[in-house]
Amino acid sequence: MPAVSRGDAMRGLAVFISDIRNCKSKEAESKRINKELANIRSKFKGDKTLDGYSKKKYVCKLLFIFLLGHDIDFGHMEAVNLLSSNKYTEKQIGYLFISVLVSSNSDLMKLIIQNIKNDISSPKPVHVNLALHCIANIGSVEMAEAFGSEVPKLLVSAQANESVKQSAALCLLRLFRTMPDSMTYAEWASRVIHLLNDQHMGVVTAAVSLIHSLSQHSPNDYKGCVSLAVSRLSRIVTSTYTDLLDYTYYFVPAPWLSVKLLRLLQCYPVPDEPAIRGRLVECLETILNKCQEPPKSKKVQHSNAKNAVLFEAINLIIHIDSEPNLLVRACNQLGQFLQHRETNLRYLALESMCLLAGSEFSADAVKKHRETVINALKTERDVSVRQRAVDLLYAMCDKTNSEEIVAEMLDYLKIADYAIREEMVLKVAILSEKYASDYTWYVDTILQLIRVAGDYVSEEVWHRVIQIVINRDDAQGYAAKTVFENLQAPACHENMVKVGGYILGEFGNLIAGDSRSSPLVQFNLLHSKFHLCSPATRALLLSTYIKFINLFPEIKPTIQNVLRNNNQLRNADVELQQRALEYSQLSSITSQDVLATVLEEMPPFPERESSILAKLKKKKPASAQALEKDEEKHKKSPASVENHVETKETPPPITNSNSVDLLGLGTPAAAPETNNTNALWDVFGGSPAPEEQVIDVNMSKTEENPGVPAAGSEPPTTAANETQYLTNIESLLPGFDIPNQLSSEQPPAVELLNIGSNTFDEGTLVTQPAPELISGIGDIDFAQTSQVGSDVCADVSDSDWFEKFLFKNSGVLFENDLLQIGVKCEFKDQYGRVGLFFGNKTPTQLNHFSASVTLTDDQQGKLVVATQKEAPSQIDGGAQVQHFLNMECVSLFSDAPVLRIRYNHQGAPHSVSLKLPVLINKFFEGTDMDATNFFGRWKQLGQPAQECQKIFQAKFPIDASSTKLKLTGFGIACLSGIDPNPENMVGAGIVKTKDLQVGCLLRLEPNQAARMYRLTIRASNGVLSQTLCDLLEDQF
Amino acid sequence: MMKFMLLFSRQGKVRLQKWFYAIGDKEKKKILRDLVALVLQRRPKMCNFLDWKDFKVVYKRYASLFFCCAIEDTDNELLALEVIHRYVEILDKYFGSVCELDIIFNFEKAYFILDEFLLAGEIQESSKNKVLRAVENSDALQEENQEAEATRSILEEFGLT
Repeated sequence: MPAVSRGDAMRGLAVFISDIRNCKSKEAESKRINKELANIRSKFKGDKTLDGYSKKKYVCKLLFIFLLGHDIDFGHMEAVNLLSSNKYTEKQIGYLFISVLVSSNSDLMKLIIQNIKNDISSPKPVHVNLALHCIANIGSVEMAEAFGSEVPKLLVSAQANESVKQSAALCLLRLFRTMPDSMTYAEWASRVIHLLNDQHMGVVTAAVSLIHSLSQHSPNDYKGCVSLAVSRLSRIVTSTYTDLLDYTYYFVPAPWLSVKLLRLLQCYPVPDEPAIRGRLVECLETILNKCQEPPKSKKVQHSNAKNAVLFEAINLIIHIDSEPNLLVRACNQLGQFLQHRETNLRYLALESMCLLAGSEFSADAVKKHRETVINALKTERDVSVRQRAVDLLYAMCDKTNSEEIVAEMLDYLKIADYAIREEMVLKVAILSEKYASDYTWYVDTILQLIRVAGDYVSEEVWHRVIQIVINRDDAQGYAAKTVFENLQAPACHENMVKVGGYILGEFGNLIAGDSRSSPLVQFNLLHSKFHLCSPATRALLLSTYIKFINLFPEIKPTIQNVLRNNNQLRNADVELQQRALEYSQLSSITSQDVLATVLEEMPPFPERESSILAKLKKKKPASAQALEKDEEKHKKSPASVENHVETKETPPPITNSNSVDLLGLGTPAAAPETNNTNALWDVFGGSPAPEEQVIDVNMSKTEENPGVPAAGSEPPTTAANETQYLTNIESLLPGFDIPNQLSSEQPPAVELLNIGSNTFDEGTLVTQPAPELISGIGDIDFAQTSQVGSDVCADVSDSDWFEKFLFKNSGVLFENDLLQIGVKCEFKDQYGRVGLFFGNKTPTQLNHFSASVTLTDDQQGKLVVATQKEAPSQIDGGAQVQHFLNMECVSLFSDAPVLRIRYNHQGAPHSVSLKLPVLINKFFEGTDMDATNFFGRWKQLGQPAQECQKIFQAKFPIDASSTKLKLTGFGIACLSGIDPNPENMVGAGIVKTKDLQVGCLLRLEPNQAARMYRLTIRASNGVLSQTLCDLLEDQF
Repeated sequence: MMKFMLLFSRQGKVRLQKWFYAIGDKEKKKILRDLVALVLQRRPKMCNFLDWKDFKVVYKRYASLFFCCAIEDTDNELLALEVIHRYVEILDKYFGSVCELDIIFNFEKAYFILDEFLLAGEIQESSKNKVLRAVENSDALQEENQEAEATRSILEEFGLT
């Protein structure tokens, strides 16, 4: 039935299309098109009586021109006119034009909607269908609003014929995708579910797609579909191919419907009811059995359809993940496909096996195919199949086979397609880190990676090797030796120079004893690469050089010459110029001790998620997740590097921490510092401590430092306390005259700190500088307090404080025998009001009472605090006084401001320092959004810098309602029904500050089995995601 | 769900494009350009599936035409291949040994048939006979007007209207 014989209604169109096809050049084509456009335009303009047929023909020509890729800016009105024609074909063309071109002209939307309304209520099913197709094709918000309540009626109506129901089901699906939240149709749910029982297979096929989407959105409303789906599926798989007539496709009964039902069942957990569950397992077994039967046809369509059902059944088996028998059978079946002559099947088998590798029941069965997969990597001719092989090797890697798999991947990397190299590099880097049993192997692997695929080694990879080497004492010497050897190659990749520069700068001394790698040899070797490198690498090398000056004073003059060379001092690159200048100054004006302090060995990096894994996740969410799942299982294994990164005991710096902190560089990382606060806390235990104890704490701190004379070992008396302590400090600080020189030394020190952070902060490598800055300043503060001679300095321990105030705004901030402090805060937008209530617990008066808030340098300008009402300077026995503060958050800050309270009790001075419950999260405002919106934004915030992720052990029993309460208390709006996994929490909010408002999205994924959480925060400002993540970590 | 379906010739001329989700014209053009180039450079024996951007691309060549569709990560590739095949079968039955020219000259028919077969990126009707019957039904409505148009076509043949 050739259409030409009866569809030749529009000869003019055919002539025009032939003309276009005969055009010899692009110009000729344009000319012909412009001629036609002019013709049509004049017809539309001039001829008021243009009949429907001509309109249809011209509209169709316009459509053809548009589809050729030309812009069309008229004809919309004529197309809309066609919609109201009583001739079906004219209507049809009108609708086609509207469906294709409507987005470019929506002024006519009202008219269009009116026409659709007429047709949708037409008694003729063909017209209703046209209208439904048009709604589904456009699927805009306007459509959803206009027809969201109309279409479901057609779907469940008893009168509508089957084809209308089919169109209505999918039309509704499209509208639901457009506005998922306003169309949940809970009231229709039961009737929609029962479409699965419809006698028309076509209706069931269309309806199951709709039910699938609705179930994902609101699983509870639609959970009744499970049993219906299972029985429908069972009827199909047990039918013979003759039963279903038209719906049998190449001897396979209803493959489309089967696959859709199998997918629908993946939205739900395995049915609890034994009968349904048994029936489902039976279905899956039948599907697996059928694959072993001889094919009923040699046609590829037969095997494709059969295997489509099989693969979907395997997906369901993996989803159920509790039927070991089925999992192993699935794996064996896929194993057969690995060697199938059809490339498609090999590809899909590799893909599915990746998923099976993640299940504990089938992981071992998958590993049996290792050789076949490695072979596929070497012999497959299609890059996309090789890519799958790489994915599978990655997924099946474990401790026992990691060396072989990594070796094979490295080997293949040399000849791998450019398209997959970067990803392979990431994978090799992750596997070698994860399964490293000995760090020499790890270091070798990464360096080899840089050798064979240096261009594809991203920053994350070389940053990570440095992090690990720094955190592992046992790897440092070997790493230094190996990079040194690698650098000797005549041509080595710039990434090798970066790693080499950094590692030798830190650990070059470990190999300096050998004359073949003496300091000068090391320096000359590095410097021979200097001129070939990019400015960023040169900057890094300059930092290495200054570290060399510290490590090897004997080559100081040589290095100073290099630093003072005009190539550096007058370099066009400002960064290089500045570093050279500052480093050369630093090397000449400071004493060796100061230099040693400034250039102290890098402290260990805090344990956190590998940045490489984060990067891979960004590139390939699925495969990274597979590994992660695996990782959570292996979390306990001692081989995992992350666990090895226990805080290394760095000896405290030679000088007392006070001076170190002034410089802000080379502080022992966060860990020792928290120890200090903990120690303080332990000593005070919340009760007013006698002064001696304070001193003791400080003294014991100094005594811990090797090489420091025990100047303050005699317990000072109360009266002499102040001066004595000062002297102690002075004597502890060789090279610094405190306090006089303190001020004069400070500016260069601060500047140094800036370079310092630049120096090491090539991307994510170093996170310390910023926190250090804060902690450093914090310590200055502490030092001053001590010098002024306050007698009590108390602090609520962090965990306590957090539990109290991170999630709520009022409570008892502090209490001892003398004083109770209550707090009550209110926040609105960027403004906050903090009420403090001081209660005197003694019968006698507290006098000289004062309360003040100090801001760290980091908080200065970011948070404005004003005292609205000041507490009186005397508090009578048993009385309570109030103190009110107003705050404005100007921009993002990270730590809580400190409240300092001083008072005298019975003549003895006391002081208390407390963190105010004011953190950035208090300026949150929760926002409500739907899934589309949420995931749209989530994707937008996909930059690695915008995301922060933490994985941590649950501290409390995992309970959704209390978690939700905490998150709400934290300030974020908990959104339900967004995440496909109902256990996961997602939330959204805006942090409001005066200068900026930062949108922020949160996802908290509990893992009941492992008692772990994974927290992911994305915000347009990366600092904020980090800060919030830090706050929330370990709070659940 | 299927995100879009494209038909293009070996020369890279797009013959049909159907988008099942809202997407801007600029983006469409970019996808068309990139994907057509990518598929055309693949050799015959390679597998029919590609991981491309956020999609899985499934394509198959029939004579001079490539049929290519993009599906989501969780969709079934083999079945998408058979969606293509079924569409080709329907076109073949409708036009009688369909060739590229049929689709060029009757592009609107190709769209109408697709609307009966797929809607919102999902299979609406998998029975070949039912899809054909629906299309024929609407063609029958067209024939009522045909006689009146017969005289006109002579003039049109000369490009006079």
